Amino acid sequence: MCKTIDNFSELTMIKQLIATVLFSIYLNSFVFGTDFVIESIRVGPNSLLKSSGSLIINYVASTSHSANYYLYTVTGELIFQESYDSNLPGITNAGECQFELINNSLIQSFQKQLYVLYIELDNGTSSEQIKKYVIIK
Amino acid sequence: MELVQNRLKNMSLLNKLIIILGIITVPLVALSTEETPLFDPYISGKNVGLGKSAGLSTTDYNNMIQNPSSIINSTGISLHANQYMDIDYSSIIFSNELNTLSFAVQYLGSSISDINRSVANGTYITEIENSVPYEFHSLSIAFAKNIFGIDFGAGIQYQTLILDDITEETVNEFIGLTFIPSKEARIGFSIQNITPKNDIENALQKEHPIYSTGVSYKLSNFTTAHLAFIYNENEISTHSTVHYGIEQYISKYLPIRLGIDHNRYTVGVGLNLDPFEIDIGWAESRTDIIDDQLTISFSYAFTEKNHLYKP
Repeated sequence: MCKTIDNFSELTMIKQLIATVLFSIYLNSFVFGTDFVIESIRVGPNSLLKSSGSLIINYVASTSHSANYYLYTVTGELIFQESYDSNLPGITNAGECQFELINNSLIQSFQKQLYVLYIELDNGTSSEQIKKYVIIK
Repeated sequence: MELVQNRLKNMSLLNKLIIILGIITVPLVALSTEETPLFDPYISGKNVGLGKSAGLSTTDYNNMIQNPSSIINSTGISLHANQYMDIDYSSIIFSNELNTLSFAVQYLGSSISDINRSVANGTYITEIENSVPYEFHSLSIAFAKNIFGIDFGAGIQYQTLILDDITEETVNEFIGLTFIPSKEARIGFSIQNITPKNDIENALQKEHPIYSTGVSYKLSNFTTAHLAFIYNENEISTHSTVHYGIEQYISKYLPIRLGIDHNRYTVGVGLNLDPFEIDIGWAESRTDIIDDQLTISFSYAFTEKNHLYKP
C-alpha cells in the first residue's frame, strides 16, 4: 500500500516537472522569441585576387533563415546583389553555412578596390545585419 | 510669419520670378531620374547641406577642388570630417594670399585597420592573425588670380590608394573660373580630372573628367539660392545631374540649408561665430541598406569676407 502511494507521488512529481519545463520553454519563446544566433562569420579570401579568386562566405546559424547579400563600392554604388530562400543546404540551413557567393568569372569584371558587403539574415522572427569589408586586388 | 511676408513684399520682381521658376523646375528636373550621385569626400559640410549646388559659384576656399577660383578673397583654415559606409575621411584645408595671388592646400585621408586577412581552402575560410592594409591619401594645391575682372584658378592633385600590397597613384589637374555679372549673381565653371585615366580601377580615383557649372543668386541679405549642373561620367554616363540649394540665415549666426542633390534631399545647418564657423551637412541615402552621408566642417576665417550674410 505504502509502495503504491510512493509510486503515485513520484508520477505526480515527474508530471509537474515536465509541465514546468514545457511552460518555461513556452514562456521563453513567447517573451524572447526564437533565438537567432550567427557565429564565426568569415568572408574571404581577403585580400581577394581578381585573377583567380572567388568570394566565399562561412558562418554558423542557429536556425534556418533567408539571406540577402549586397556588395557596394566605397562610394555607394551597388554592384552585386543576391537573395537566398530559407533552408538551402550549405547556404541558409541551420548549422554550418559554407558557399561561394561570387564566382571568379564575375569577380574578374569588378574593379580593384575596397568593397563593403552587407549581409541580411532573417529567420522569420528576428534578423541580423552584418557588414564586412572585402579588398579585390 | 509677418517677417516672411514683409520680405516677400520687398522682394524684386526678378527675385520672385527666380523663386517661382525654381519651385516649378525642382520636381520636373531634379527628381525625375533613378540614378543617385555618389559620395564625394571632398565636399564640405556647407556644400553637402546645399546638395552640392554651391561648390561652383561661391567665394569659399572649402570648394577649392570643385572650383579653384573660389579661393579668391577667402582665406582661412578648416577641418572636415565625414563618414560614409562606416569609413571615416578627414581633411584639412589652408588658404591664404600672397600679394595678388591666392593659394590653398588640402590634405584628405582615410584608412581602415580592422580588415581581417583570410585565406580560402575550397569553400572554407581561415582568418589569419593580421589585418589587410587599406589607406587613401590625397594632397591638392590650387592657385587663383583675378584677371580682367574674372577669377581664374588652377590646381593639381596627387592621390594614392593602398590596397594590401598594391599602391595606385594618380595625378589630377583641375581648373575653374568665376565671373560676377551683377552684385547679386555669381557664375562658376570648372573641369576636374582634366586628363582621362584609362588604367584606374577604383571609385575614389576618377577615370573621366568632371564638367561642372553653377550659379548663385543672392535673393536678399539673408537668402541665397544656388543651382549647379554636373556632368560626371564616373558616376552617371548618360546625362548631367542637377543640384539645387537654398541658404537662409534665420539669425545673424544661424544659417539653415536645404538642397536637392539630383534626386536625394540634403539638409544643413551652420553656426557662424565669426571668425569661427561650424557646418553640418546631411544627405539622404536612397536605400535602407547604406547609411546617410554626414559631413562636419570647422572653419577659422582669417578675414570676415567669407560670409554670405552681410548686415
